[in-house]
Amino acid sequence: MATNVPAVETGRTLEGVTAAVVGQERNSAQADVRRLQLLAKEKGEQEMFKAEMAEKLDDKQPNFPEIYSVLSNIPDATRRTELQNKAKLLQEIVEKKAAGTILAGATPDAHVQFLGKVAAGMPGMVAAIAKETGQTITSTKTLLENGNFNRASAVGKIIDAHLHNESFLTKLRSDIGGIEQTENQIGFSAEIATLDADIKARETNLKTEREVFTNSNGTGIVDIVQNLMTTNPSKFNQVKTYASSFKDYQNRLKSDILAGFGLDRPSGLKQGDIVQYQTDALAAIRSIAT
Amino acid sequence: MTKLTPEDKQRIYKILAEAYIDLVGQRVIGKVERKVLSRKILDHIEPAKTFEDVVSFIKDLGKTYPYFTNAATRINGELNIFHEKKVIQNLEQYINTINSVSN
Repeated sequence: MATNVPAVETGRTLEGVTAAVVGQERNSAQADVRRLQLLAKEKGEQEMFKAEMAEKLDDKQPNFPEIYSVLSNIPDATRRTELQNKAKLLQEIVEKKAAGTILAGATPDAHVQFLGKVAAGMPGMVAAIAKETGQTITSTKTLLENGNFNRASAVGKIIDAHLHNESFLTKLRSDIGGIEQTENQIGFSAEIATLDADIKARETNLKTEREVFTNSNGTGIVDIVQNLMTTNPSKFNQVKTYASSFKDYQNRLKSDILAGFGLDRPSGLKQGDIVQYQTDALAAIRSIAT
Repeated sequence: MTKLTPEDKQRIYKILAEAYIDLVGQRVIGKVERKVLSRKILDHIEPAKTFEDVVSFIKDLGKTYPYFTNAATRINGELNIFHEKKVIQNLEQYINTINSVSN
């Protein structure tokens, strides 16, 4: 027959265990500090960081700050918020924090429903829950996947028990560690999104440039010329003549006037000369066109 | 822009290591975070070419690891003192060069 342990005794034992654990942790941290200080002194600080980076870990533990940092790079805002909220729920669960401590507004039901969705992907769990509740495997899976149950329900009670099961949480923690590996994939998605945006911007620029030449309103340069060719060929020929005259004028400006004054080399031109030539050229063009 | 010499980097590693060891002693960072932080520090300080690169990295670090903000403030302060000393040193060197030329 089992002997009941008085509550006071249990309290004392727990206090003792807690103190021992805290003491051990403190000692371990101090030992780490001494080891790091020694390493830095003997081999230098850079080597100390290299040794820390190369440290082999037996059990991959979740690193939530890193996970949030990775998730913040997801380009799609809706998807980003969805995953950030999931990570916050997970953090509350694995760190055994009260619902709503990290994800504002989260309820204890949200914790069991979240774990239920995880369980839906584990055939053994689904079968066990189905057997326990007397439902079919298919309906149990659908129920879990949809999170359509609360903590007080039969399924909820089974899942809730896992929230307090240390070995289950240890497994979950090590699985979460794997989330960090998605960093590269998310990085690639962000890069692709940037390239997409770049391509779209180029398309817009090309469209704008193209519209200068031809557009649906018929106001592009090519549109006007084509229109002129078909509706008024004589005017079109006149424009061609003007263009040719303008070209001749430019040549004359260069060979006759500039050369005449010894200014046909760019190095001999002054800013004032160019303005004057432009004014003269415009006046000449106007006289030809009117 | 102040170019970093190998000696400057050594000093920066020293400042970062002191803050890092403090965090380990206070037990605010776990084993995985220690590994990640160390990797980040090496990845950023190694290719850093200027003092400004280092300051910008420290600022970013505080965003990902909120508990690193205090350490970052301390590091920034120490780096600024270090930077000022370096600028004064360079200035003195420059003045000495001018003096030796004019003499």
